[in-house]
Amino acid sequence: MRPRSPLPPLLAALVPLFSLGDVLLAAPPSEPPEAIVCRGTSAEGFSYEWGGECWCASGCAPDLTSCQPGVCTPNPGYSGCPNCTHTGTYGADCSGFVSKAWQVPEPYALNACDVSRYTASSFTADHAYWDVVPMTELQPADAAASQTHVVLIIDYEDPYGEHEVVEAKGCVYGIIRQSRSFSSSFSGARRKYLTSCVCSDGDQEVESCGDCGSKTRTCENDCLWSAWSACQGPDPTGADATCAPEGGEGVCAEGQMLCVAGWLTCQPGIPSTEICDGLDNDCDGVVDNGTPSNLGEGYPCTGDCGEGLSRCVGGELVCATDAGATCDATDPTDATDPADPGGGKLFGGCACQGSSDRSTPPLAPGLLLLLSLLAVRLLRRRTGPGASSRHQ
Amino acid sequence: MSKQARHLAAGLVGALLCLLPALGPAAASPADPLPEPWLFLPWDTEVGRVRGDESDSEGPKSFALKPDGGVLILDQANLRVIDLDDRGDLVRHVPLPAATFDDVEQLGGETLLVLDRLAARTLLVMDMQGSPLVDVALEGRGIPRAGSVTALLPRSDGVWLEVAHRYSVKVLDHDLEPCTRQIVLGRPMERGFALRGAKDGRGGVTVQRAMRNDRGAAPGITLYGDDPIRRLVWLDEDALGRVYAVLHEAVFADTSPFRVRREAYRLVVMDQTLGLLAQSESPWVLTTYDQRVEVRVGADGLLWQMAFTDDGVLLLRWDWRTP
Repeated sequence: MRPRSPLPPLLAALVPLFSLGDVLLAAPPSEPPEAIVCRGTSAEGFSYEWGGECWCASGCAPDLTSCQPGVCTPNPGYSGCPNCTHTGTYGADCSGFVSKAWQVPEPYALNACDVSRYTASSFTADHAYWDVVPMTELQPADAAASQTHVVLIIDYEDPYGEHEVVEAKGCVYGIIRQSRSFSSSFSGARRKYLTSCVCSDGDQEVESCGDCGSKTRTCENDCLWSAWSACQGPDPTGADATCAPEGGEGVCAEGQMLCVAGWLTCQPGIPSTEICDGLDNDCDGVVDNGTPSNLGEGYPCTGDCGEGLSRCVGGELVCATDAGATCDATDPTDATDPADPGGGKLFGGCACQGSSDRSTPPLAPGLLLLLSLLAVRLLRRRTGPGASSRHQ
Repeated sequence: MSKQARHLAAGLVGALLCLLPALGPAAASPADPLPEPWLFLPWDTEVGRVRGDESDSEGPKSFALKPDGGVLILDQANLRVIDLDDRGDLVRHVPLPAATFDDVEQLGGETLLVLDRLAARTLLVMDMQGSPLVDVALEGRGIPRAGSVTALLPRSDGVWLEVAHRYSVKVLDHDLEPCTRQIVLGRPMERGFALRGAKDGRGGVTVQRAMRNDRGAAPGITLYGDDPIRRLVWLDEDALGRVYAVLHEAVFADTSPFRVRREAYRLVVMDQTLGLLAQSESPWVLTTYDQRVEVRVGADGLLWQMAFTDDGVLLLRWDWRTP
């Protein structure tokens, strides 16, 4: 394991005051934040090496072919470094990674190993090369540091307040890119010598999303890019607008193609309470099998066959009499209830209860009384003068 | 530590809680419950951690609630999931094949889901004995980078992964088979609903509850605390559709190095229409030990927090259920 050689903070703090030569302690390059983010993302996939600070890049992507990442293994009985063993040439620890991405204390080449760098705690205090900034104001190319760890921020915070970062997280992880949160033991740091402005008022950039829609960002304050907007795009239309969701039953088998967050997705029909409509509303594979109260079954009624109880048949509520009371003599079609093949026969709005397993639902006494009164009232309105006179 | 000692330690924390003064100027009303300590596990002997040195520190990254009232703790540093029954007693240790898992969930108390976003980049489905059943690659349609997954959400219609706290991707169907990936804005809930949450840029958090991918204006509420909200820690609902939001409030110093002056978690309970029902506060916040899941909501309406102390892992819960 190579020893670390961080630049003493006091010496670094003196750099602006005393010229110590162009090679040693050269100020970090003047560059836009994107250049730092680019160097940071180019380290993803390399190994964690305690005391290390080198990797190889191909543009903003890692070059894992020319430079084989090493392997870090915790020593027996330990979970991480410094009680670990690293094999291979390339790799970095957290502070070596951020030092190199920031090009401090000097703008070394990314694949230069065994060069000066800072420790994580160095980034928690103001410095000649960086300022401490509030964690609430982090932006891409900033660092977030604690006494023992430091990461590179590569995006603005997400809707919940987390940030996308690149970090040399630890021995078993290597250098990774992830969304993460921070405890209040972390403080922010912003490197100096950033190109102050990278865009002008009115500038706008548009980028395509996954497989539909796009996202935009605009120039704010005549200087810096805003965060990217959420991906948005129009939903497909015409023949492309419908789809069949996998495994969907009932109304959930009928889908609509949508553009959601930049991805085309087949949105199944939304399951709902099963009602008597001939549809499988709750998507359980059976039509009109809801509770009697949701279906509207069990209410006293009077149909062509006489008095009975409401029942859901073939997607419609009909008035069903008790078992075989009137239908046998008058049923000309002998049609079987399609929703209940073992049940009654249909005729003119009547259903004769045969051997159906369906049971009449229990009704609350109050509801039963109310419905009975309504039925009586309807009956009177149809058959006797009393009803109409009462309405006059 | 013996079972009795663990419960005694939790009891001592509970006694201390009773002595706590009101947590901030808008502390919980008398009707709101105090946190009930459930279990304490000391560091290193019963639960593992990684103490960073030029690297990240981490404790158990996540935990999950079982339908029988028990709890699963992802003890990834010890390559295992700790399976506890409803009294906090050990049922078993479920072995894990790597130390890089960072989320755990369960289905029906019979199936274990463990997520590895950063190394293997897979979702591993196992039985409760640790035998692998299905292994799904995370990256693909809807998930360009595994590290951007922000939540593991098992639902009755399948297993969903939230991406960058913006949308969720269904990666397994209800039979736990890989499926054509569906996308839903926000976090999918049961009965076709979804929850969306976002900081509003003015110190508050907006929460919306709507049908999945509803194109209309979803009803919403903006939550504010006594202090600016730094992070939306968790957003979920119980079996009755009550919505739970956990918010990290914090105030920082105005001058460098901008250290935190005051912070707490605000726990907010809302009904299905996002009407406020209750709230409380927790003084336990994220520590220097990295943790992916700090809070869970049980189907029964119990809200759980896995907090880290100097001495170990503390599991607490809040009970807003009607007696």
